[in-house]
Amino acid sequence: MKRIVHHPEPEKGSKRLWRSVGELEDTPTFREWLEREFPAGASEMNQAETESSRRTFMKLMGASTALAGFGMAGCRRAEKYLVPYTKGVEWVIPGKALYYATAMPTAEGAVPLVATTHQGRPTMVKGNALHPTSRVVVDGEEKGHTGVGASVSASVLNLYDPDRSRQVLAGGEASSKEALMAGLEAMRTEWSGNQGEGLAFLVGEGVLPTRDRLLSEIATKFPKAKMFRYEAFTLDNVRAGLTMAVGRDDVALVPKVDQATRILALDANFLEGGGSQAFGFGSGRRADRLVNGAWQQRTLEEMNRLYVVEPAFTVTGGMADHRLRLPASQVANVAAAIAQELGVEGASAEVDERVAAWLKPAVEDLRAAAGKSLVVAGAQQPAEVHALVVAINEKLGAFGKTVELVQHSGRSMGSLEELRDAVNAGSVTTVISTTPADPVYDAPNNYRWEQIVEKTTYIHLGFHRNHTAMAADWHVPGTHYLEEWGDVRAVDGTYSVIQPMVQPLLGGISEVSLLLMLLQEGSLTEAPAEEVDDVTPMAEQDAAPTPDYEAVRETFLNTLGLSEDVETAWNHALRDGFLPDSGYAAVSVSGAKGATPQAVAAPTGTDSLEVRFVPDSKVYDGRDVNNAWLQETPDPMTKLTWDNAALMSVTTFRALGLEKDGQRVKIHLSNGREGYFPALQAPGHADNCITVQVGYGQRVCGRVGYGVGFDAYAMRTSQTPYYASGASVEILTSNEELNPESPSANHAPNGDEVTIAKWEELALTQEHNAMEGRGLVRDGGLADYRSEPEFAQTVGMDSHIPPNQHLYKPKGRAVKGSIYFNDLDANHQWGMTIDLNSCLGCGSCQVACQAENNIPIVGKEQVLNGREMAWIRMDRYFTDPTLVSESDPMHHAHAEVESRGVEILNEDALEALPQPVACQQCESAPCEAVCPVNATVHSDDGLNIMAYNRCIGTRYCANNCPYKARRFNFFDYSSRNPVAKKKIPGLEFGNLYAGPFGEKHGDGIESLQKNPNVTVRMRGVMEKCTYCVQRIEAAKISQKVEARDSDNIQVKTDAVKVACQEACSMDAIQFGNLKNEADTVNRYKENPRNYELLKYVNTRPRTTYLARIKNPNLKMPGGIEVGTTAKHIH
Amino acid sequence: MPNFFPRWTNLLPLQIGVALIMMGSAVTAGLWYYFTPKYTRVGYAPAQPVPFSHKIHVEQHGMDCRYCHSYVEKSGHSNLPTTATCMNCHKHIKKDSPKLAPVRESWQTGEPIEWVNVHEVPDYAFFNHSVHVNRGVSCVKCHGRVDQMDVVHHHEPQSMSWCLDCHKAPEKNIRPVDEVLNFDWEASDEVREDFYRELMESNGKTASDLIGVIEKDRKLLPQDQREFDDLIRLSETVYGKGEMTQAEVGLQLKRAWGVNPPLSCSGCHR
Repeated sequence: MKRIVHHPEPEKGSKRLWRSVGELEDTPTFREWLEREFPAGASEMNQAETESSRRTFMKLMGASTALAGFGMAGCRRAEKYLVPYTKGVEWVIPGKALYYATAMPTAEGAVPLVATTHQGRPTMVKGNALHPTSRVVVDGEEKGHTGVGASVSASVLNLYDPDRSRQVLAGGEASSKEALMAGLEAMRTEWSGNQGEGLAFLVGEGVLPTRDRLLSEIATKFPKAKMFRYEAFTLDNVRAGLTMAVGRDDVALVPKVDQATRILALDANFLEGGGSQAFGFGSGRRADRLVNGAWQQRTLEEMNRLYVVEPAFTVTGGMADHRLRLPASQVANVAAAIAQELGVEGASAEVDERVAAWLKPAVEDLRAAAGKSLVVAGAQQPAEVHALVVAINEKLGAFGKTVELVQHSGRSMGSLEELRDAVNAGSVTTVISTTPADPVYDAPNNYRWEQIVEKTTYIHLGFHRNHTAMAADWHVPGTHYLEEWGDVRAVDGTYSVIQPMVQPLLGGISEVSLLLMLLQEGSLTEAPAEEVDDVTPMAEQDAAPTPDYEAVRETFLNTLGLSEDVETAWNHALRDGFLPDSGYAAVSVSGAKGATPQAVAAPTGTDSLEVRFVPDSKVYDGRDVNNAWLQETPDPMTKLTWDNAALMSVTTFRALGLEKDGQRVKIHLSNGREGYFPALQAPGHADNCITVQVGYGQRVCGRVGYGVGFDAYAMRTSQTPYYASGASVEILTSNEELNPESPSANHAPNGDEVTIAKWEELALTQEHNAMEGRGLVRDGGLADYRSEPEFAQTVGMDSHIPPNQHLYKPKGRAVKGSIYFNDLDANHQWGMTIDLNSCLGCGSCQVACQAENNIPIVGKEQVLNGREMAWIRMDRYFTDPTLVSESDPMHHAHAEVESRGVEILNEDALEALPQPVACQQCESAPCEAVCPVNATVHSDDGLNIMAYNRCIGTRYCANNCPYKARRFNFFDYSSRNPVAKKKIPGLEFGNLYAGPFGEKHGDGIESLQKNPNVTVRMRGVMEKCTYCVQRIEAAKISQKVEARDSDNIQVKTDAVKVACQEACSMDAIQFGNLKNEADTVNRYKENPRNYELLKYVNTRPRTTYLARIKNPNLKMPGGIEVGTTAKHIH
Repeated sequence: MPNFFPRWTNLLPLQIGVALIMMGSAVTAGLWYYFTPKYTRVGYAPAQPVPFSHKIHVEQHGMDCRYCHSYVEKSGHSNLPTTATCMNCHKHIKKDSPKLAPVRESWQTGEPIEWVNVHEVPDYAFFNHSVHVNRGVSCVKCHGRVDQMDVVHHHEPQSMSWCLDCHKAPEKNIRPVDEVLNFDWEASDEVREDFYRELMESNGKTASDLIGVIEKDRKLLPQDQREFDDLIRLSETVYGKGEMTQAEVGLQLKRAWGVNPPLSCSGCHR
């Protein structure tokens, strides 16, 4: 009998949670996304192609038929070879992964990592749980975390980027290593004569002990050489602010978020990158704790409370209990007002009524929790703000408790501006640049860095063949952090070793190696005299240690002041990835001086807008533009893929007269610079303010990033590096043709002329896979949770589902409270919980899943068709709790909300609620019943499994999935390049449509990243989350191997960790064996906040969610409404 | 009007029908036989770059499988020996044999030897050696008498249904873990008393437990007869006196170890 699930008819006015403005207004486009699995026409070629699609089809088909005959030549069994090592490699067991500790250097410090390698190929990274920055006290117990940000997970793919630099370039032309060495040798001879006159080094941010030691040695050898530091997003303002406040420049701030219960973030997106701050925040954010196996709610004082002042919605703003949207330029004013309120000497500010009403109770709360409160500011705020923040934190008694001022050991260096002046003055003639930034592209536009490069002999060491590489006199291919020796100080100063997993794949030279070459005695052109051993056979020789290894070891042994048994310490540091107790020493603070920030007029209207330049959540400053995983991971807040856009509030969007997302606007800055961007509504953005992400629109980059987005750096000058006021906007009414040479043509070149279309189709995923039903994501206030712990289980329909009546007596109980009838494996039944209270929505799980499960990317064109393959879909809902609530003074009628949703939307009160949805592993799975070939079936241990080789691609299962968690390989994404275009005379179409004639992926180098334990799927196959079945099976196997001739075959407690769980910085995901009572997941299943998605459909999902809890301050404006959305879902 | 079709054509449809059926059967039978792994794989014995003889190494020199396939108990993949492993002995023995020239060359140059793959598992199937050899599946069950082969050949079909035959009824093939590498082992080699004593020791079980295992479905012995002698007596009643059989050994091991080979797709396809 066919069973039809009738989703409850939404009551008028109950539309309280929405993903897009389209959903709020219930547009026809949204209805289509909701009701169809894929939009109409998605299975056809796009418009340009449809015109001749039949002809193309016939052409391609004819040709493939003709070619088919050639394929039969190989009927005989192909001989395959097994190639063992000639000499066994230490620790390597063929078929088993090896794990090494290493670290990824970042501008702020380092991300300690453990890399998974398969016979020398690193395939995945996760955080190093032993590292001091990964250890956080949670409810009195120290716990190590393995979470990392999305871009860290994705960094593995950069190693295998087929477009990464692999050749020495001289003046943009191919050259050779020998020529480079000869050139360097000549220069070195010259510097030896003139003490390095005119020589300058330009390095990146971060404290790297060996690099800094070598720079000091160079400074000794060539005393006149100068050192500069540059990255597009520097910590210069933070350093300058600290100097203002405490009068020292050798100090740094280390926030200890886990110690703080009241946090105020001033334009500081400190949670996005994951890592130590997110671990700390996560531990304080818990709404309940386990006491003797039972859940106990935290008190209002124990759970932390986050206040955020920010211009555009970020993941930090999404976690906030109270959020104030404010243009970036006004944040300084807020800092001054807080300082004034707290009595910091000399601080004064005027703020308007709305801000004052918000600030007063917030500051009151911070003061009441003195010693447990913390204020943080974003690195893009001016130095004065950072000085004020130090003074504020001192007043709050935060130093030594929730924040530490530490003395660091980094070198002080000149800025990019100083280097420019030095070049212009003629005192620098040679620049050796090892910064990861690309100054020709990302330096402030008024520096005209390409002219600086032209004036000097510029040697560029870099991982990518980018703008600077092509302009420089010499480009040296650099190395990835997974293929070089190095060391780095983490945020807290812990000495961490960067250990290579593999020899440089494409012959790159690391920064340390280059510096060593400059210091090397003797000739560079002749290979150092090696002892050639032609007696011992090759298979018995050991490789000689490389110079960069020796250099790092030397730093460790001789400069860290270790006294005894340094050899053992070194071996332990290599094993653990760090040297214990090597953090920076704390410095006490007293009498920190504030500063008066320069007042900037607030943007007043649509004729005087403020434009912000922000690093992108995916490509950062542009360095990851060629990383396809990141390009296709939706932005956590806008859900935009493969593009950047001009973000503005819904109010401003309408005030400007814009009608739909993607309409092109031309932004004019008051300094005459201009840029073209597609406009995008970003609910909750500050009014009269536009945010553009930098890093896109690169003219020189690999095939993934080429032609993606628009360049915002072209509008950025040194006077207004992070935000510019007085901008105006013009809406394009027709396509514009631009000369590619013109400075405004910041689109990647596309022939002789650049056409700026008046409308850009934005690949937004926010409406994709929309689900019917209500109460999908549930929230509540902490006070409500304390009085009624089980509130989440009765939201919406769940309150009136009748208890299930079963005709047959169920066989065995698999799960507590469940009556799963197919309980074949008595030892293992798997389950998962996702704590929405801890979910940032940052997308790190999505990237980790992609790396673990060999998930392909599909390109912008296919994302537009709704065919993205990510197994985890990160839904981000917005909610305005003030709409239709009893306490709303306006008390809008239900019908009014329905018809005028956007107009009466209160963007000040907007909250964001992320929810990751993957396959829910239903016990009675609707997909299994409809598969005609049994390709998706239930396993003994309760998984809903996919046998790829059985799948014939009917897609019935996806149609029948109420969670829309299944993904279909419409094309051969794994072997065909999805971003290329195929051209035949008179026609241009996506490479994927060319079928067997399409271009293949690079040269196969990227296939080295693939996880050997997971099948690479081909075209026509359905796939979905498998709960990382390869890890489950591996755990079961290793337990059976251990059991040998006993029946001890149950996998050990919490032994299986799935990829998303490991990657989560906030510990939101728990996974385990429901049959093992000791597994942590069982505790979470008992949590009163636990609820099932679409419970009334009775699919009995194995993945369940824990409701999100807010900790609002009732004295705040609108405080009473915070976290009340679920309460009002009928 | 003359008859257009001559008389003999009357039987033509029937003849065509019969012929078609016969041809169809022949084609089906042909495919059935020649296109299955039983025919295409069994007996495949490619020439190797080095004429290595398992027979000489195992039968004559008594070498253990794990000297060369050293990780077979630890890893899913049973490794081939490195060149250095060969040279451990061949530095001293048969130093100048022309047959070993490729090994010496590999040793000198560092270039690996390319052995021709005999047993191939498709990329979408994940077979794990360690879990089989540690749970009583002998090498000989999948690879045949490699210890007697001069040239390694494919001995079993190793098709999916062949795998499943054993996964459905592992008792037909499993043996005590200590005997996994013993190619000559027969169930009849086991001495009943020693077998049960061993089973009790390795699992920490009592005679009563094992009696329960044999009784599984119905009570055969009164409650007061639960000693070791009773166990032996019971097993002799159930399985017959005289030599032990695979049916008895396999079933006892399967139940005592909780052998439960995966039958769902994800056991092998991930």
